[in-house]
Amino acid sequence: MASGTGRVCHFKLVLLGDTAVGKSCLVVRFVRDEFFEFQEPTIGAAFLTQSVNLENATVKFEIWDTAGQERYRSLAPMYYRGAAAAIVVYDITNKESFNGAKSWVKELQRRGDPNVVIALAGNKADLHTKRRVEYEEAQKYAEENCILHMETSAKNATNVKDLFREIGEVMYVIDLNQMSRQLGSCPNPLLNQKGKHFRSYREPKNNDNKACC
Amino acid sequence: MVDNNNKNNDNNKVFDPWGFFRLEMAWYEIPTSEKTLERQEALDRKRDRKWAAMTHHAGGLEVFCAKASRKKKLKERVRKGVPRAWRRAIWPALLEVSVKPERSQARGAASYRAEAAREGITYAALCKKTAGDPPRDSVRDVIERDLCRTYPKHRLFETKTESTGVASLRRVLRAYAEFDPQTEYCQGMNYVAALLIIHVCGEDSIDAARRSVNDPTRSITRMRSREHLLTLDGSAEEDAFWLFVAALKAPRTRLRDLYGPGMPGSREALSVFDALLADSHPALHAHMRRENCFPDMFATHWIVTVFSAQFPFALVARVWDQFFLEGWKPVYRVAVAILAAYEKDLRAKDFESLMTFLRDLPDRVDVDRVFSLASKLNIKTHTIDKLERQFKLPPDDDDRHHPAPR
Ligand SMILES: Nc1nc2c(ncn2[C@@H]2O[C@H](COP(=O)(O)OP(=O)(O)OP(=O)(O)O)[C@@H](O)[C@H]2O)c(=O)[nH]1
Ligand SMILES: [Mg+2]
Repeated sequence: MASGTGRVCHFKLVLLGDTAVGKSCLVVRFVRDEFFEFQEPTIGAAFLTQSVNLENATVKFEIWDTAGQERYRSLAPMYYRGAAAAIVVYDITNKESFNGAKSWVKELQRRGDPNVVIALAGNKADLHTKRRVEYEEAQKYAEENCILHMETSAKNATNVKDLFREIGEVMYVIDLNQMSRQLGSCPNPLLNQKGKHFRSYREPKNNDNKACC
Repeated sequence: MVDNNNKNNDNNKVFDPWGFFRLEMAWYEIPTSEKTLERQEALDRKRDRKWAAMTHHAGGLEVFCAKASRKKKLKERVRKGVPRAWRRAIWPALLEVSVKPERSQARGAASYRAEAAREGITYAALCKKTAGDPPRDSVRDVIERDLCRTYPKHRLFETKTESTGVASLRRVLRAYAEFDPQTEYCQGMNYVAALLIIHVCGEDSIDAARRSVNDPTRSITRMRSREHLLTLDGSAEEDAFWLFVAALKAPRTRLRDLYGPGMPGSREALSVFDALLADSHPALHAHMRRENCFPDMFATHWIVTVFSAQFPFALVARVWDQFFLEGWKPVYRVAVAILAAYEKDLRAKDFESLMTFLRDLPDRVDVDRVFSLASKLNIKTHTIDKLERQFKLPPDDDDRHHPAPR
């Protein structure tokens, strides 16, 4: 609460990824700080909002949590269209879901908003004994595509807030960037720090889980 | 996934009269839906005799309804709600009663079962063929992931052992995917199948108890005690399967159209709903449009599961009573009535509050009010037909026709 003084920025964020990778669980963890072992499948999409307080601003996310089954794919465009940010989720214990994530990233790059900020989330990081997708592999892919990457666990809350905060920071910087461009003024100093790297990646913080990296 | 411990805790758990587990409060303390239920049960007692007469009519419902006046009577009675104890017998029968529009001609579970049998297909054979561990990333794998996520708070589905609803649901969904490879499995079907399993295989000992006790307070204590809860009658599973097949394939209900690749039927139905709302409640519809709030954004699960995913069973069961007899018209009527019931609230809301309100609506919907409004809505069959033709999509169309939200 110390922050959030300045502006409030609103952003549309969409979650994409195969069925049962934990999209809804991630959102529920972020928004309500809860976890349900038997989270029901999402039919269509669910809408939620949550804010992140940054140093100089509050970022308010309007979140669309979508259905993951292939069958529902034709409905997805209406949710990612116009989205400023997207979290593409895979399950680190399911190789196929990582391939699914790659195809979602490709689809976003091709058909999403040209400036969409993409984050790749390797969820279920608590299940490291069943890992099928190596951290390095996903990290390499993320670097090549200039997208954020983090491993998360909706179950034990690892990196969930951090992921949204990270995206929030990037969004805020982009917002400032656009404003200053509109005003014709010099870019904000913050931009020099982060702006250039707004599509970069970050090592998972808070990583007490050795097997994660 | 298998959890045997649940059983031991049963005594501490409280289930509502529909078989859903409640943690926070005793079931009789809350929602309108359950108050509705109590009243419904008092009514049911009165209606029992009428339904007994209809179902035990020599030759069944179809013969009972041979006279047009009787058909009208049946429709009226179904709209009031089939008594709970009768759904098991009545649902398959309703699908076999022929009603007016030609398109929604009668075809029921028995007919699909017989047709399959002529081709040498039986439920047992389908189950046998699909038994065993699913290969990774097959459709059966998707089904497997949804089994424990379907009605996780329902008594028949909360324990994940064999001989529970979960095992029945697994067999039914796998058998269907095998039976109809074009449709295979689409999320949403899990709720429909589970709903039918609950109503066809759920042996409702509450009903027996209820009939013997007239004093409502006594019946509450009885319902809360362990031996009066829903149990699973496995022998009825095959009936549930063929009713599921009929619900998907019958010309009247044709759920199968919703679930195919690209889900064109779901998108058509959402467009029809949108147009019907515009017709009957133009101001509300215009307001929602202005706020960029479209039915696709909140009502996809209403349509794809015919309300069965999130709404209270007090509403779901009554919608399905009418669905089996009349097809889609009553479904649209209820969808419009749900919004109409909250028109004043909705018209005061902006995009975000609209979306939040509609998201949370299933938990607190006033079931009585919805059905009372629905019964007053004048939606014509030919209007629905016209709209269905108008919005017809080629199969597996992509997203071109879709407006982007904001
Ligand atoms: N161990 C572990 N399990 C998780 C985690 N996140 C989700 N799950 C499990 O994965 C299941 C599916 O999670 P959901 O959030 O429903 O998945 P989804 O991606 O929203 O799935 P769809 O709505 O079908 O697209 C849940 O029932 C959880 O039990 C996690 O971080 N760790
Ligand atoms: Mg989900």
